[in-house]
Amino acid sequence: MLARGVNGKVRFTETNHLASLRRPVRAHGTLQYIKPATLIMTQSAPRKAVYRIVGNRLFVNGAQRGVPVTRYPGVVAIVSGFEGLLSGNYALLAHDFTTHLTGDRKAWHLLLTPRLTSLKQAISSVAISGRGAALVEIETRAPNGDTSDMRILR
Amino acid sequence: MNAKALAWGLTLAWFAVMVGLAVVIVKTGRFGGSLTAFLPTSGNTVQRALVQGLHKGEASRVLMAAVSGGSAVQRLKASRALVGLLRPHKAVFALVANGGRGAARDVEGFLSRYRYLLAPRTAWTVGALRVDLQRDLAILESPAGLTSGEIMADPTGALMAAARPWMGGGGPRSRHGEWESRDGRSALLLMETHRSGFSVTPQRRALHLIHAAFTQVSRGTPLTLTMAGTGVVTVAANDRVAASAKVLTVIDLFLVAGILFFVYRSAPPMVASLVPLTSGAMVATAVTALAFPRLAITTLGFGTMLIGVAMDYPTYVLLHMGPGEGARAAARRVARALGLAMIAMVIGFSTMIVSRLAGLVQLGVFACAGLVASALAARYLLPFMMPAWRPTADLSAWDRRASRAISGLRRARWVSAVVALGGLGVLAYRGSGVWDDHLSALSPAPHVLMARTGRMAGEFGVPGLSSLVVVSADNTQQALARSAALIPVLERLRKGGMVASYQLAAGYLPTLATQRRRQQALPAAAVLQRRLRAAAAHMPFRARAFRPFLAAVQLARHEPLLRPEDVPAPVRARLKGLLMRVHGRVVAFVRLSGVHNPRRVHAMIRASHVEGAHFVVVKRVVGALMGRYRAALLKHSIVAALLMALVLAIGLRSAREALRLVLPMAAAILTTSAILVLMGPGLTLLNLVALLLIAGLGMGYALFLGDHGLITDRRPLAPWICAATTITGFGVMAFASVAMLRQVGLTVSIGALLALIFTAAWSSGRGRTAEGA
Repeated sequence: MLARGVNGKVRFTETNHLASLRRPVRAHGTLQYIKPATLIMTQSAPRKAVYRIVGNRLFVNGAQRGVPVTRYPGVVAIVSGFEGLLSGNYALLAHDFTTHLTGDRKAWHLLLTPRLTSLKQAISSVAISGRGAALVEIETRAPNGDTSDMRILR
Repeated sequence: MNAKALAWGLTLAWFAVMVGLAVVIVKTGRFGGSLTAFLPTSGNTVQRALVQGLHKGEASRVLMAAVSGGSAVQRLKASRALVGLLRPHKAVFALVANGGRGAARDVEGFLSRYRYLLAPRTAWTVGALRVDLQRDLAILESPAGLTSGEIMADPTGALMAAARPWMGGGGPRSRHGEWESRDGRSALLLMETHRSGFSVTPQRRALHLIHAAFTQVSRGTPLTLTMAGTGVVTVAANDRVAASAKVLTVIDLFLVAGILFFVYRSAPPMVASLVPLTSGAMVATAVTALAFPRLAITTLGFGTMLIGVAMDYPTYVLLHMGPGEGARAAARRVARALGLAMIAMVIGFSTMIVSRLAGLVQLGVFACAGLVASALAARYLLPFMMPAWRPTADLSAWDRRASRAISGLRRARWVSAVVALGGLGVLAYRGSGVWDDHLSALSPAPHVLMARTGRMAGEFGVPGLSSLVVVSADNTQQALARSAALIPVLERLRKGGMVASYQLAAGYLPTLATQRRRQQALPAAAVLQRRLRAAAAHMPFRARAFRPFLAAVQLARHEPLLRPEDVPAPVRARLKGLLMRVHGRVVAFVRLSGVHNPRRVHAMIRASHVEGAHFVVVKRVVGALMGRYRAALLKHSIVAALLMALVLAIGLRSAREALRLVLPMAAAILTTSAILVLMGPGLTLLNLVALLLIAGLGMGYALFLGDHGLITDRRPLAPWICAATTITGFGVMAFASVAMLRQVGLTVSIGALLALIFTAAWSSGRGRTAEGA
């Protein structure tokens, strides 16, 4: 159901509140998912950057050598979330997180809570909401109070 | 009646002694099953270090597992569950990991605490800090920003730098933090055992644990488990030999029992025939187990083969029983010949004991003890165990046939001489090409497993044992310093694609001098705070975000420096395989994987002018070591042959007779070698040991074929029966599926046949032998 929703390119805005920074980070750009396991995030602000996540490696700005996403435990969560959701592999998602689905087909909310301790240290919850086949918002909370709110624009 | 009581008493006593010996062996014997145990412990430091490294090194202790089939989720679950089940077995596994983080997890605390001593950084200027902070900000403002809270505790990335050597050279790719194969169809796990990969029992235990755990986690799923690693190869090789040997032993037993039944026509002598060999093997094993801290399985195998000649002793005794005569009288009659054969062989084998090769010394002790015990059992035990038994079969027709055959062979003496000369010619023509000195030539390991191990090691990026740089030094710190001096060269080699990755102790533990330099470069709290403020100008960092970093640097300034002896266990385990003490010197290994151009690597290592550093291709060095071992064995065999001839000359009181005995034996051995060389890739150590057995067998044939006045009423049939059992027994082995067994079977059966023919052809023909013809 979800897998069909996000083909092609979508625009997004993201607002991150981080404990270590005085002001929130406001980002916007585009997101593109290419089956089966590539997610390209093109940020136009706060700095121009392209983040390409292929499988489990993160390539920054067309770098040849990828960095394992595992270096940033939180990204693992996002990627698992995205990948699980977008490739329609719900089982994978359910493996890393406990899932709680509310609402109906028109307006749904999916709450993900990490199962693994390593993920728990970095992430408290990921709340994904959507309308029909479209992804609308991803809200992530970290135990240290950091929050991220990503909105997908049509 | 008295004799009967004595027989029962003796038999019971013998049983008791055998049980006692078995207890001694089980209690004191420490078995080490490895071909590397057979390699010389002498030689130069590099060679010694290699042998030690091969045996104990980390590469041999790594077990790799692939979970395939099913869905990705099933594999992931199984992989995690396996780690959960196996990690608690701390006594067996030094490491159980299914992802890069797992490998580093055990050392995380250590890396974090000492990160400023382990990470190669000495620049703490405002400029350097600013570069770090800009990168940190970029990460915080990236999609990874949210969860990079800990980045502020380590804004210079020291932990990452300290952990880099632990992440491995690339390693397998991972999915959700867990390793998977390149094709994405299997989940991968890596286990590291505490004990050497060449030790059969501990490896079998480790594999058993893994398989049991897998059975548990894979219940109800279509998942399959594939294992690879030195331990897997070791166990499989062992099982294969055991399985093959089991089947062949059963066939052997039937055939040999058939021959013996034809000769004796009753059960007691057949059973009693086993007494000498059993006694010999048990005594030899017990003596060797008591005399040496570790008994190599190889010694057991080779040794039992060498004393296999004891199987002939009872035949010689029992076949010489005259009509109405008891076994005691027969034993007395052949005692001098048996004794002479045994003493000549013991003196011959004792030359091995004085050799400087550990494996050979053990083999010598084993063979000597075994032969003495077997001969004594044949002379003083066997006859008393069956006082009432009398031969029932009339074999005089066969005696006559044997005599006729011997006479025929004597007339055709010159043929054997020509054949032997031909054999000599073949050997001389092949020269040093006669030998096959590869360790794998001796290995009974299935090739499929070895290939799989190589492939999976490549997938894991585990540096193999194919080539490495050996750096020798006077002490640990010097070894670390010297190998660290190679890092720029190694890095150039890696960038140039000549080496895929490298691993060295200095990467995990820098020298004290390096640590001190890094520590002294750390700024004081106030200074660091000032510089941070300057570096962070116009960046949105909160000042309090730097507090954990400032505290960590202050702690590191007063941290005591790290020595190899005070690092935690997982680090020490890693260092153990890379840093070794070898006869008063310290050797550091730089393990290389994916070496593309050995010649260039060699040249660049040499051009680095790092003292004590040598690039080594293991196969070549091991080949050279095997060559040395083989050459030593050959030298000792020749000395042994000369000694045997001397003993025989004294025993027979005639140099001429002694030569008549020894020369045909030597000719048989030469011809057998030539045939084997023509048939196969070359002679190995194993063939050489088998040829030594031929010498022993041949001596028995010669002594019992010729007329030296040692034995009254000689039975010409006896050596033929002995040869028939040997050729049948080992001939069956020649059809084994395991190359190692096949080689032994071929060597001994061809050798025994030739030894019989040659010694018969050159035997001195006087007295009773002619009478039957």
